[in-house]
Amino acid sequence: MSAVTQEDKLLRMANQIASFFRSYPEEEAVAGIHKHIVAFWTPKMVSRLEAALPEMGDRADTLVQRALRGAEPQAESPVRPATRDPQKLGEGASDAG
Amino acid sequence: MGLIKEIDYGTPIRVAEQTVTLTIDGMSVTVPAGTSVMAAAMHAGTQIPKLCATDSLEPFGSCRLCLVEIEGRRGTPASCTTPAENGMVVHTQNDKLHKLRKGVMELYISDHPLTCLTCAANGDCELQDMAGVVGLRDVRYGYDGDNHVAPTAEKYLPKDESNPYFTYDPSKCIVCNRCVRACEEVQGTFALTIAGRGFDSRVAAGPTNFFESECVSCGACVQACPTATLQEKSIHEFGQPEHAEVTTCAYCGVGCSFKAEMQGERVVRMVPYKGGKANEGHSCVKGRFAYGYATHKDRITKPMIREKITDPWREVSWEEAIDRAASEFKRIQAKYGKDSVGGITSSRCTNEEAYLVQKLVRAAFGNNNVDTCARVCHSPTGYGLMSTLGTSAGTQDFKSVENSDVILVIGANPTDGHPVFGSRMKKRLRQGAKLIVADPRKIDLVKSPHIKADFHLPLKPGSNVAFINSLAHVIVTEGLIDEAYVRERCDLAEFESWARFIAEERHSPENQQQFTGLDPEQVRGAARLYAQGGAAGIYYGLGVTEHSQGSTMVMGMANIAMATGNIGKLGAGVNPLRGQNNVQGSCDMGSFPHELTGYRHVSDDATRESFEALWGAKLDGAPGLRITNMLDEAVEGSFKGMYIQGEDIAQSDPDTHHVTAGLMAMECIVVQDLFLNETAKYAHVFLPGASFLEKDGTFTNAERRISRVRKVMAPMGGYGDWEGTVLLSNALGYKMEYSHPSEIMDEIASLTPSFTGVSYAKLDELGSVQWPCNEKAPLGTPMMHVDRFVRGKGRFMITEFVATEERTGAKFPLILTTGRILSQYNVGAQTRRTENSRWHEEDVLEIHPFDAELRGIVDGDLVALESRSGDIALKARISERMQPGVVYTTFHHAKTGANVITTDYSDWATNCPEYKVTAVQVRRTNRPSDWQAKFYEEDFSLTRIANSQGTTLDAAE
Repeated sequence: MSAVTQEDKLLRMANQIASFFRSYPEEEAVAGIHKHIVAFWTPKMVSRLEAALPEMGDRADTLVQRALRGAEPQAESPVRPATRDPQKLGEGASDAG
Repeated sequence: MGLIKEIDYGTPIRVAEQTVTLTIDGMSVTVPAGTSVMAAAMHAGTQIPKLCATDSLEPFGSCRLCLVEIEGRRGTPASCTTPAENGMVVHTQNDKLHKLRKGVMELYISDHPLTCLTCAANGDCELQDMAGVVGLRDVRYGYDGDNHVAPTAEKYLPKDESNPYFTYDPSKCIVCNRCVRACEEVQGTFALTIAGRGFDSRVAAGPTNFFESECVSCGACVQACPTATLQEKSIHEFGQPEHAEVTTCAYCGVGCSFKAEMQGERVVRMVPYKGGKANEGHSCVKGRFAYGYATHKDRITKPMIREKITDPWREVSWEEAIDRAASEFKRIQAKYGKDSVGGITSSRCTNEEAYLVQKLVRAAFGNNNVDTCARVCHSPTGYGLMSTLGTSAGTQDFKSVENSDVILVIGANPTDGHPVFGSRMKKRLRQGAKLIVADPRKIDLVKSPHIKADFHLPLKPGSNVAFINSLAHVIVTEGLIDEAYVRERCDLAEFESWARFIAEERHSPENQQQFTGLDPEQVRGAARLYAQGGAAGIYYGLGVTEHSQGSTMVMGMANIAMATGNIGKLGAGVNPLRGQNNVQGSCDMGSFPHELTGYRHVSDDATRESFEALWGAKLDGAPGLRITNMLDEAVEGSFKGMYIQGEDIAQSDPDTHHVTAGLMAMECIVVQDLFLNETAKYAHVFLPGASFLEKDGTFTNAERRISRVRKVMAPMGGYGDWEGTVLLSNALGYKMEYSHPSEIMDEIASLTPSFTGVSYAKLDELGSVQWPCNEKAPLGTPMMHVDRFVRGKGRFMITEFVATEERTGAKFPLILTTGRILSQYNVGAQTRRTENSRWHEEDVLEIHPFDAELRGIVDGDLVALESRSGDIALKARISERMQPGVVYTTFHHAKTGANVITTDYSDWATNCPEYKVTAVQVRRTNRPSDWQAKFYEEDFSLTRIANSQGTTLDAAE
């Protein structure tokens, strides 16, 4: 079924993200979910889901709850950020590829 | 400026390390071993007369015009079939050869109509040229030609004009076989043959005419024909062109180079350009012939505005339209906040235009609410390849396929979606490369002339990750890993973690069969072939990305490529076949809401500051809204305005009800397009778009190749699309000043490390370059990750299979998957306005005979197609290409409304919609759906244009 409310939709997206990172050790997974959401969602979307989480109970994946409700995760995400400094790369490389 | 004449060497240019040196007409010439005497002569500047030879085809040796004398050899061998050898001494001209050639020409001309002055090929006829070259002055056998010249002749055959784009006139055929060979060697369709013997010899498209035959109208035969036997209808109508410009096709992501051959501002024909590295002189029916949309009567050439979408459009000046758009955007931002508006860049427009639209959004709107069509097609490619390899693009150039020993095609249909590359792939397959096709449908590539897939794996839609995991499981557990490669090139800890994960028994083909539906032995066989068959290249399309696990699947493919050492070498790689002409470019240009040009995140201070310094504007460091988010927030009431350049989200995006609800909720939509498209029904300002023929710029194709688009006619609406964006930005109060798109590219290069070496001067010099093009790679980068991955060490990612939430059940027992066909393109806005629609007049539902019989459906029945999102009606086509339980349709026709059916499920990482998996039911019906009835009504009510008398007309009238 399609999500009904905007919060439902955001929750579905977050749970989907969690389903990918779940395969990693929990601390990394939490960091991965947090960093993914912050990297790709608008601050408004993030805060909206954060605000709705307490009402969502166990519909929200526990990893999502940890990623959004706890302190900012310190572990590294399994998905590393893109390389930024092309000077450090080899022949033919760049930040983008 | 004149026509662009490319050198024809007569036989293919050979590449070899060894060279040979010979003497031709007293001149020493050195050529690669394997080069023919004919081509060697051309290298030395000597053109040997020829008719059956052309350098796109292997030598045939039938016309006997290219005879030469070689010292020490008997007779007069054909120079096209004789390889050049060290020390050879060749004479191309003497009395004996002259006499022989003249005799041959006499025979040809004795059976050829002498109507040169009224012939369409007059001035562009090789037969005419050769008659001149050999000095033909009379024909001893007469001029009547008892074969097929006169309509009264016994063997005369009338012209075949069935194909909408070219004619076949048997009376002018010299049976040189070039068309037949082009169809075989270049296109790989084998639709043509020479039927009959002697004077009965005829080019035949099977036992039918060209239109009804297997011919795919790629134009290779027309291109190869040395006479007017196969001739473009446009040449018949307008005559020969007088000047040309090299430009880039505006259809698919192959990015073919064409010569736009012109008479003044009229395109007389588009001819594939041999120097174009993406296509090397080949073309498909769309690029070669379907350009008529550019001057179609439906083009909207005047700006228009209206208060409400139910009002008729009112034509206004550019100034008034721009003022309206700017004042509305300002009003909306003042009332609802700066984040209440956004923009969509076009994957059909140029790099420079995409760059300007995202610049306008970020600098003039002051937010990051910009997105592009790649959101709904290859966004998972960017994410998946960036995570594993470090780059958001394919790894190889197209030419690499010529070195593939194994080709793995997943979720792509190259012969329809990327036909010119499909032909290149088929050529390699005919040479013996092995083929694995993983696709729910039996696509043409599975079995076509002289090609049969070694493995066709008809996996269930939605099971891609289960499939790639089972393939990887075999590779890991059967010891097929390239250990030395992994040790040297990849992150070992991540590899070991992945290998342990994938080796778990639950990932075996036997255990994954419950999801994939695939015979485990077939999967094992395919895995062994991929890992052990030599250089193995993966080519994939939207069948990979448009799933809820699209990004995971891309990572899964990168995993197996790394594990088998198949990245960074010729013939291998992970290669997305990208959909639209500039979808790679629009992504490169910073069209996503979270990143600036060159895939750099907006939160990166150093990157953002470099843009702020040059642009003179403060930029937001947080990501903006994706298209889907914009529509969600529009429905909710907080997102109110959009600038959409060259995209038609009302037709192309999923869950049409939701898309149109979002569009209707906005207060100002500005559409800049060639036509009043579906999205324009909900727009308040319309700015006339410019076709690719009407502006300068660049496109970037699926192999990262940046090619020039060159203006050959004035914009019909007065401005190129980039100029429209400049006007809007200036009216919004953010100053943009460019006098030519080259200045925009210079700005892009100055801000983007992977583009620092790109300039129009370089593109003019080299023809095209593949990014990265910078100090380290001044000539561009044909192949990525050669000695090391861009991200350093290759990173294996864990790819757990998670089934989509879209499930079949009693109410919706079938799975719908959508796609495209050869003759139509994307939403069909271009191709539907050409004769291409004769091959595909409407979208149909392909259904397996079992599923059809169960529902009492026969071929051609009108059927209702229903999902949880909505329902439509369309005709059924019974097809064994489908597997039972899976139905298929295209989305080329707006009136069909295929996306009324698709859902809002999407990829976990990028929100790329899950077009490929929708649970549906199919039943017979006798009427259009309610949505379609409403569509027909709105197709009139929302597209009316007021004329100068104050009355209104339907835009279609």
